[in-house]
Amino acid sequence: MESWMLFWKVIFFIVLALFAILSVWVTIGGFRDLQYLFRKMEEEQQEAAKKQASQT
Amino acid sequence: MQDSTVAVLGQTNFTPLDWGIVLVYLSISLVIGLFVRKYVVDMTNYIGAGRAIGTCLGIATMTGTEMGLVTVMYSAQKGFTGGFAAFHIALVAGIVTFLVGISGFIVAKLRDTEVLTIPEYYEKRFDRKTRVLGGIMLALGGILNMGLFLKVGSIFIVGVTGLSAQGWALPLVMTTLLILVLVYTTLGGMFSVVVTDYIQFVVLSVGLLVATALAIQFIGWDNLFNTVAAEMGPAGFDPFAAEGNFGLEYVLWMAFTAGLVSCAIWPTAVARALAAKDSQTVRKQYMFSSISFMVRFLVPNFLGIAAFVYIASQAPELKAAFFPAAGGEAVNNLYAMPILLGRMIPAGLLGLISAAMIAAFMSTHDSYLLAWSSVITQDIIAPLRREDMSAAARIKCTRIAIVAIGVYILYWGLAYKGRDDIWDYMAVTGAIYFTGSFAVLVGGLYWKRASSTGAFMALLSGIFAITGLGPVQEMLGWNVSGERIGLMTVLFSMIVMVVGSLLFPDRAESTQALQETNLYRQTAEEV
Repeated sequence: MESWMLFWKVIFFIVLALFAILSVWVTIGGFRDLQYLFRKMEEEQQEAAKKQASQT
Repeated sequence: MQDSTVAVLGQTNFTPLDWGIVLVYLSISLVIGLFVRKYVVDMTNYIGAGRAIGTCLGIATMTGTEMGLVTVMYSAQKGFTGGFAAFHIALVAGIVTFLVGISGFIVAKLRDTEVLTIPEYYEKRFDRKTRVLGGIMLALGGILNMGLFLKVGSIFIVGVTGLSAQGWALPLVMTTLLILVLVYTTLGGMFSVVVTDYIQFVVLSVGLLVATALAIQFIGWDNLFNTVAAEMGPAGFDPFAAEGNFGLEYVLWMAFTAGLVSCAIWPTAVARALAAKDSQTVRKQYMFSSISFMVRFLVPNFLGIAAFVYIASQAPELKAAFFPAAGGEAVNNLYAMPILLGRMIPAGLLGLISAAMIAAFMSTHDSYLLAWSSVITQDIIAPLRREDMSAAARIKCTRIAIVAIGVYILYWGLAYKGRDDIWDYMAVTGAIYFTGSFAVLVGGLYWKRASSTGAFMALLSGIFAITGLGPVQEMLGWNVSGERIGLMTVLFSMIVMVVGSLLFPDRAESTQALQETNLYRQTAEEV
C-alpha cells in the first residue's frame, strides 16, 4: 500500500505541473490560432460575397 | 426528505455575487454564439470550422469538449467510491492518448482521407449502406450516451448552490441550461463551439487548479491519504486489489474506453482531428492533449476523494446523510463533490469555479449536439435522399436535429429511472457504437481485404453491448460485469469483421480476384 501511495503522490504532482504549463502555453497559442481563424473566415466570407455578386 | 437532511444539503457559501458571476459568464457565451454566426457560409465551416484549427486551439477545444461537467461528476464519483485507485483511469487514458499521438494510429490516417465525419469515411472506403448504418449506430449510441448529461450537470449546479433538496430546482436548471446551449450551438455551429471552447478551456484550467489547491488546504494533504487508508484499506490505492472496485479487467476496459476510444474513435474527439490543418497537427495535438486527457480524470477523481475524506472525517451530519445506518435512504453520492465545493470555496471565488464547471458543461453539450446532429444530416438523411441537399438545407436540417436531441435529453434526464452507475451507463451506451466502429475503422484503414459486408456486420454486432446495462441484464437474468461484456463485444466485432470480409469480399476485389484467377488459368494453359 505504501508504494502505491507514493506512486499516486508523484503522478498527481507531475500531471498537475504539466497541466499548469500546458494551460499557459495553450492560452497564449490558442489566442494566436483564433486570430488566424478569424482572418481566414473573414477572407472566405468576402470571397463568398464576391462569387454571389458575380453570379447575380 | 427529512428536514434535517434538507438543512444539511442547503449549507453553502454560494451568494448572489456568485450568481452574478455565473450569469455574466453565460451571457458572454451567448453573445459569442450570436457574433460568429456571420462566418457560417457552408457545411465545412458549420461542422469543421473551415478546417483551419491550429495545434493550440485544437488542444483547447479538444480539452474543452472532453473535460465536460459530466466527466467531472462521474470521475468525482469514482474517486468518492474507489479512492486513489481510481487514478489509474487518468494514467491509462493519458498514456494511450500519447501513444495515439506518436503513432497517429487511426486519427492521422483518417485526417488524410479528407472526410468530415467517420460515417463519411465508411462510404469512401466501403459503400453507402455502411455509411447509413454507421450513422444510425453512431447517432443511437451517442444520443443515448448523452441522455443523462443534462441531469448530471444540473445536479452539480443545484448541489453547489445548496438547492439540491428543492424539487423544483433540478428541472428548472436543466431547462435553462439546455435553452442556452441550443441557442448558441444552432446559430454558430462548430465555429462558435471552437471559440467558446477556447474561453472555457482558460476558465476551466484556472478553476480546476484553484479548486485542487483549496481542497488540499481545506482538508490537509496527510489527512487525505490517512483517511482513505483507514476507511478503504489497500483497495483505496491499488487498482488491482482483489477486494477493490476495479481489477485487471476493469483497467484493460479503461485503457480501451477512457484511452483509445475517447481520443481516436469517439466522434467528438475525432471531429477535432478532422478539423485540424493536417495530420502532422493532429499528431502534435494528441501528444499534448494527453496531459489534459489525464487531468480530466485525475483532478475530478481527487475532488471526489476530498469529498469522501471531508464527509468521513470532518462532517458527521453529512456522513449520516451519505452513509446512513442500515435501512436508511442514502443521498445520491453525485452530490458529494458539489456540496464540498459549496462549503469549501469562499463566496466570489465559488462563482468563478461554478462558471468554470458550467463552462465544462456547455462545451461538452455544444460539441455533442453538433456531432450527433451533423451525423443525422450528413450520414443518414442526405445519403438516403434521392436529390442532392443544398448547403442551406443541410444547415437547417442540422439545426432542427440539434433542437430535437435537446428536447430528448431533457425528457430522458427527467424520465430515466435506471440505477446504473453514471460511468457504467455511459460506457455501455457508447459501446453500442464504438465496439463495432473500432473494428470497422481499424479494418478499413489498415487491412486491404476488409469488405463492406464485413464492416456492415461488425457495426451491427456492437448492439450486443447493450446487454451490459443493468435493466437489460435483469431482464435476461444475467450477472456479468459491464467491462467484461464490453471487452467481449470488441473481440466479437473484430472477429465478425475478419470473418465477414473473408467470406463476403467486395465485388471489386472479387472481380480482381476473378481476373487474377482467369489470368492464372490463361497463363497455365499457355504454359
